Amino acid sequence: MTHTNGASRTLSVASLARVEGEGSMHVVVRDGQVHDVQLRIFEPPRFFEAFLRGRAFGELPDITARICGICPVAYQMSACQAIEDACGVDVPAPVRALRRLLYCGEWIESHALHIYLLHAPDFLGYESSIHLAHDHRDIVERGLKLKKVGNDILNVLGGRAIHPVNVRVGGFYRAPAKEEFDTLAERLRWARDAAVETAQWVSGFEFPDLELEGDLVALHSDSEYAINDGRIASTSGLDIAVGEFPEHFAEEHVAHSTALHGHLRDGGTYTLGPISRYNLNHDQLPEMAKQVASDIGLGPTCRNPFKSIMIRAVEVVFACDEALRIIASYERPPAPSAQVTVRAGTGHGCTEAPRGSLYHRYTIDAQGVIADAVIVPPTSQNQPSIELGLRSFVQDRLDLDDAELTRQCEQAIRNYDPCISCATHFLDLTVDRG
Amino acid sequence: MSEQVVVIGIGNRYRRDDGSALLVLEALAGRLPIAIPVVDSDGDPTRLIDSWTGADLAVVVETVRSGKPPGTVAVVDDDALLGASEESGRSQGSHGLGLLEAIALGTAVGRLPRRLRVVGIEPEDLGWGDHVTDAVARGIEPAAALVLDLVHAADGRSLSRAPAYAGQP
Repeated sequence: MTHTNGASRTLSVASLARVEGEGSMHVVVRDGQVHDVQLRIFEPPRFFEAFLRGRAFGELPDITARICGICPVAYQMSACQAIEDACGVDVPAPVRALRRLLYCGEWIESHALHIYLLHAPDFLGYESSIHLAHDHRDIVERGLKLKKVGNDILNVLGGRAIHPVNVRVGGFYRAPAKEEFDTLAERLRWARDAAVETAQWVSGFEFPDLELEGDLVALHSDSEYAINDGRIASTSGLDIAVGEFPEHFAEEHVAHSTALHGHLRDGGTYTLGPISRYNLNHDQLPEMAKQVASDIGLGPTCRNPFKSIMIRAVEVVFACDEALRIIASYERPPAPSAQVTVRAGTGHGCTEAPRGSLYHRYTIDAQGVIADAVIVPPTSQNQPSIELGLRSFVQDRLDLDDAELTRQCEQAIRNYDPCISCATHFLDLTVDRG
Repeated sequence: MSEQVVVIGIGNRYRRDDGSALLVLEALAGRLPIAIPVVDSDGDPTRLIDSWTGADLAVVVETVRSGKPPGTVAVVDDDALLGASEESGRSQGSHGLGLLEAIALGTAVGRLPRRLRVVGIEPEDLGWGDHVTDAVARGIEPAAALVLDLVHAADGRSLSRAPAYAGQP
């Protein structure tokens, strides 16, 4: 629906969803040049930062898991890691491996959702995954089944499919017996094959030309493709401990959005997510995933954000393969959790949510009560980069009408898999053409 | 042979009245036959589809905005539900993946329950917070009672004439 209001045109969408106003975009054009692009993305963590103050740290896994239905594990893991940092807890290797397995489940689930139900329809010219399913039911069914395997990992290890209840600061309440993973391994072998087929499928899409500007930032570990352990690295050479995050990254208020925007303290724009992980950590991918990447035409570096759908597919291959590796070598640890002795202090946590690095910082008192909470989600950190990319993207497409421009901008924004991308058609676009 | 029934509540307990369906599930604790799975959902359509696949009857409790007074509890009319679902699949009408998309996608891949009943609760406030409004709190028990009626009706009575409107606080 288009409303005309003076010099600007507004596209609005009807409200059938439970929650309104998830995303909007305002483009200002003057004399044929894109003067400004402002993206407004709704951001839940601000509420949770206030909500968590005064609560016991033991409540963190349950509460933070509910910030996002798609990435509850990411919120739990960054929160637990921050408290463990504050209390000086060393989580034993077998428990770390279980956490990595849980995280693999979330990557599989989130990436499969994004690839099949959100992004692929954009590339193939379908209005939604429902239309895609009408024409290609077998493909959508493969996506649903693949996603469910990720779900299954969360079920077995997390205790339930959403908002896992088995996670605690220090590890888990209960470590599964080895045989509980038996049927999971079978499904994961199918999923790994399906992920390879997914990678081949998406590599046949057409990718508009676009080059990401600025730094790419992700966790990095020399010994593995980083998920929930590592240092924060960038393509321009940044290499810092997670606890140094506040010295290098800043969040700032901008007038047009309630969400905070992330910047490097030197003023630079940066991008998080699969594309950053891939560029920084390609060498750490297992050979099988590297081979799949190569087979579908991905070199060790890639800066076209539209190709992030290929990288997501490679990460699903990796996550299935990694989950199988962890399960194969799994022995039930003597204790499911490290001992946590509370002490006053501040701790930092950063892990790789499916859509990019998720940073948490908590200050607790000697009783373990949270005095301060800071949650910096990947979507707000990516916002300046999304806006920057959209400027040149929109500039090249000013001749499009508002409907087509909206559609293409949605596709471009979905490259970053923002939290609002659960919305099939989320964008209220205003183009002020002067 | 008894029917396969599943009860699903969709909501976010930190979005005030959007958490009402989850409170209905809590109110149903110990009152449903033990064999009936109760699923707490955030509206993710693929998990919804997984939850109801193979069921004869799925009773879904969900926040529904229809313009009635806050706290109003009603079984959503089938025609309205399917119409809205088709609309969400056909147009750029919805910006949130949820129940309607789950119905549309479930239809497309042949994974709907044999019968679906949606118990709607009219919200007042969907802002951030962990308490529902007073008006919606008064709708929780009527909604739970309605779910029980629908489940017990599945024991033999036809559901084709389920109550279209079940009370207002």
